[in-house]
Amino acid sequence: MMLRWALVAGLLGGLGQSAAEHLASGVDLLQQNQAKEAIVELEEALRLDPESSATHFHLGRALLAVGQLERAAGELQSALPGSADPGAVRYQLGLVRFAQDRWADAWTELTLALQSRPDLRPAEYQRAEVCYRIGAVSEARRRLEDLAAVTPRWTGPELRAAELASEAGNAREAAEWLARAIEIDPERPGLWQRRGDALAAAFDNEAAEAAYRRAVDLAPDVVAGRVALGYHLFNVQRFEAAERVLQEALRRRPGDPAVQLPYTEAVLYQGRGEEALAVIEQAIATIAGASTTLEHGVGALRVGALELQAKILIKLGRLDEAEQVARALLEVAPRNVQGHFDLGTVLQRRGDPDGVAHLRTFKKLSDGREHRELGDEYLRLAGDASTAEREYRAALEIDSLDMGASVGLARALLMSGDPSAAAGHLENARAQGADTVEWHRAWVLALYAAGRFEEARTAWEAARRQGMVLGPAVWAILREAPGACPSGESRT
Amino acid sequence: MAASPGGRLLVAASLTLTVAPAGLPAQALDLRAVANSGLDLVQTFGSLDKSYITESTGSGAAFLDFDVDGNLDVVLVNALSEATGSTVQIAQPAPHPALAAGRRGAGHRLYRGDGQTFREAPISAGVREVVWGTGVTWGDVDNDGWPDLFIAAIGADRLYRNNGDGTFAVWSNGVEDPGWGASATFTDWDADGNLDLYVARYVDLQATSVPSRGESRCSYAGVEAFCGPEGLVGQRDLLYRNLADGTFVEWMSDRVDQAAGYGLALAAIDCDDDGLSEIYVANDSMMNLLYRHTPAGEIDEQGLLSGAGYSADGREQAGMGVTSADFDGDGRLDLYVTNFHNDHNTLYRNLGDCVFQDETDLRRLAASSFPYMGWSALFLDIDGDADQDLFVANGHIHPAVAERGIEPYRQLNSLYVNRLRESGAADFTTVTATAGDALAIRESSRGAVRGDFDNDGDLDLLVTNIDARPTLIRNDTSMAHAALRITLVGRRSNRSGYGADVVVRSGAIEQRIQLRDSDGYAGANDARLLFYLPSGVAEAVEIRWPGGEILRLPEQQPGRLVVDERYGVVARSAQ
Repeated sequence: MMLRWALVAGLLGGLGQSAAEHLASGVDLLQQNQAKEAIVELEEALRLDPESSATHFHLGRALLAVGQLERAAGELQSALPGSADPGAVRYQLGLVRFAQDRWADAWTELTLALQSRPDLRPAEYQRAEVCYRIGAVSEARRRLEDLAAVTPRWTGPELRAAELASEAGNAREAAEWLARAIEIDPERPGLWQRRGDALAAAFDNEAAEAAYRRAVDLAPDVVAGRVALGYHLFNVQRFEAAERVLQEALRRRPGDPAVQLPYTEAVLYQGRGEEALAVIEQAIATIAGASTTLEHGVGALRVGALELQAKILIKLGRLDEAEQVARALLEVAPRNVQGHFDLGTVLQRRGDPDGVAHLRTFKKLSDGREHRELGDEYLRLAGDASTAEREYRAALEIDSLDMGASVGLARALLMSGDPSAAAGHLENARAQGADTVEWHRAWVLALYAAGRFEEARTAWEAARRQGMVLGPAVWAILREAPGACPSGESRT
Repeated sequence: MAASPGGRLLVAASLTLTVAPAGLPAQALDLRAVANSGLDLVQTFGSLDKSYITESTGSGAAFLDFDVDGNLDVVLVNALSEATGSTVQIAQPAPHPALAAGRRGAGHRLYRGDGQTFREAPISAGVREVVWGTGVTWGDVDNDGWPDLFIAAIGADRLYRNNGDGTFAVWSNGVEDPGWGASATFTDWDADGNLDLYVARYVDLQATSVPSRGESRCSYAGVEAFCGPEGLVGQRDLLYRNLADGTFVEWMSDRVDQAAGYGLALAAIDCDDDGLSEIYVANDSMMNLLYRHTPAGEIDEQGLLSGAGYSADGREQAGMGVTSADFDGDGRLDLYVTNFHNDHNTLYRNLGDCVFQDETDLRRLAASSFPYMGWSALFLDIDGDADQDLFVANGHIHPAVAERGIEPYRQLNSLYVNRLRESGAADFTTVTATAGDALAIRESSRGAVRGDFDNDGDLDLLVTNIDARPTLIRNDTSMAHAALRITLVGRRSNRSGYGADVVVRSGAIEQRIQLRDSDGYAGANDARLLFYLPSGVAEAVEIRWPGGEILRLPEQQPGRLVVDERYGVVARSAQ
């Protein structure tokens, strides 16, 4: 606290006492992430001393924090003339322009900040971020790599580089970046957990487990670390160990359905069907009660829980209850593959002819799913568009309503250079209700590749209004930022 | 002792069987690898780096007594040492090694057993062809009392007639389809007394270009790997009818395997207890199939409706091996199917009338199988306690994955002991680590067959290992109970007695074993059935022949019986 006050006193210079107090209070609140309260103090300081560059600067920061971007830009512009540290102001202005999606302006301000303060590493970091946000991913990664080389005590570049490597499907590289971050800050549990994720994705399961365990050791009370370890042990089919870890997580966070589901399966795989049923029933009760507060993902959790419950009930021979659960599942998700399988199984055993119908529906959906998943693998892992296309077409031949297959086929066609056909399949999927990020991304890319530029832009904006982030492939074609992120520029 | 058509089996009369008093101590297992077995063939299967899917599936073996001398003999199937994408062309059959110029392979081997070890029969008695052999089975096709041999291949399959003089001769009789036969079973589908033949087939190499590892962008666990079977064209299985004149014709082709699945293993089992065997086919990455009989005797595929087509998650699995037995003592034949690494093998309990339920986890078989890639599986009573234990041969298909330390290529095999007699619960305990040195061997195993090669009254094992010698495992475990060994001779039924059901009651326990050739993967087993007798005697023995007749025998002491369908017990010995 003394250090901060000394700093503030230095910045205040010759301000009158009252304005200085408000400014100091505002800065203090800002540092405590209480931006709204800070704005009140800083506005009062400004009223008392309208010419204070420092007050304009900090008010600009506070307004940026609460998303009042135009006002923030104005205050920062006002701070510039009298500022003793124009680089810092330019940097904040760059952040504002970044938040405004004004990529070229952001680039300019950040570049000016660096000209003023060549050692202002966050400005270079943010320039890499501008590159990423206009779709120049490779350039962003190169800049982060350079930055990491000159910031031996800052983990930011390493972490961001790891994220970009993961996004590109290069888990081993991500793990290496995280190892470098851990060298800088070995006591941060989150780094170990993320390294565990990357190692697991790279199939280095032993090292992943060690990383997860280190995260747990460093922060025994943080449930997320235990959950990550439990998930990993579950995924490598060490069910007994997974059960122990997830049980501990549940002890610390009772009734979390996202933990209860894998815990149930771990218990079931060890042959304890009744116990597994009891846990999943608790999870379902929790989900039902929490649907208003856990909206994100609650639908998927509920479906997963019902699938599990129906399966266990059938195994235990409790067919009446299984039928009820399977029907509830199909009510929530009418095309749920396992729902039809379970209901069909129960009815078939009773000799009810509807059982055959449900099993046939299951078979159709399942066969389509197999082809679709195979198409996904060919596209994602092998980049083999023609084989993927064949699999997606096979999926759609079986189940023409498979929206995932339609989108996949469109992606494969796009990759093969047939955007018009891709757009046609996407339109079909849309007519069936497709509204996922993947659909919007493919739609924008197809329109653009087909030369329908304005429609592509309109479609992108529509997706953005829905809160969707379509990613660098779309940004690369639709974000205009003349002069920003030149690839030949000498870097840090 | 009387044959009575239309009678009921013991199990049919009391479907819920009594189990022995719980708490019997588990037997200490002693399974030993036989060092100098004489089975010296390295069963080559393409290149060691496994560049093609055609190099991955391995060859099988058979226990049989081809010379009818009372000692088990062995057939080891062999393939070639290299492959190209057009394996079909290089795997065309040649009648003799001398004609196999340019091909590198040692050919199949037939070994004659003396009750202790094996020695190769002269020029392997006519079966030493250099082809891309896969699975093998045997049966008395012409009902002459001499077991004949069928070897499936990539390329033409082959039937060999047993000449009855210690030799075999190639028998061209209509089963030489040049596809990718993987496993086969002889079964008398129409109960006419002649063995028909079902061949499970894998990938259609003529409809598919098979890319090599490196040519394609296929990967497994992030490592470059050969492609398939998914993405390749499956090959329709074949059912052949035995016309009883020395020829076979394809049968009901419009009903068999219409989806052309990736068939790898199969078993003929009577799952609805009507005296006729159904055929169950384990498909890789596709729904498993179950063929039932229509009232008109035609074939009706009911995998979907049976519950044994998918796992309980409604997922196709990578079916690679299958075995069947009554593991829970309820008198019904259940199924166990092996699957891929990182998935569980699946135990299907028969609820009656061929309706199955996946109870893998409830029977404690799920968690332990995930780390292995299962191939052959065998139910067998390894410890003589009158219940069916379980052996699984394991081995990966991608050596490059092991080189990266991700999953081992050479794996331990698995042995599970059924706790039905110990605790009353028909669930399983893994005993691999304590079962003897034979279970400590790590190979990339494929086939496994069971048989009492040393005639000491317990079941031994023969495991085939890809690109390596097989492992002969002698069971030196002290059996919990004395054994009754039954050899069947069909008369109205097929001579091999395949499809016959035998139920033995000893004390409060009834055991049912159905005789079949194929069980596991790519192999065929000893046809002599072993029952262990908790009360010291078999108070009742019933045999239901595939023709439908039931033969009831009075109390039997431990020992060996040869039972002829027409003449009843024709030989009995105490040993």
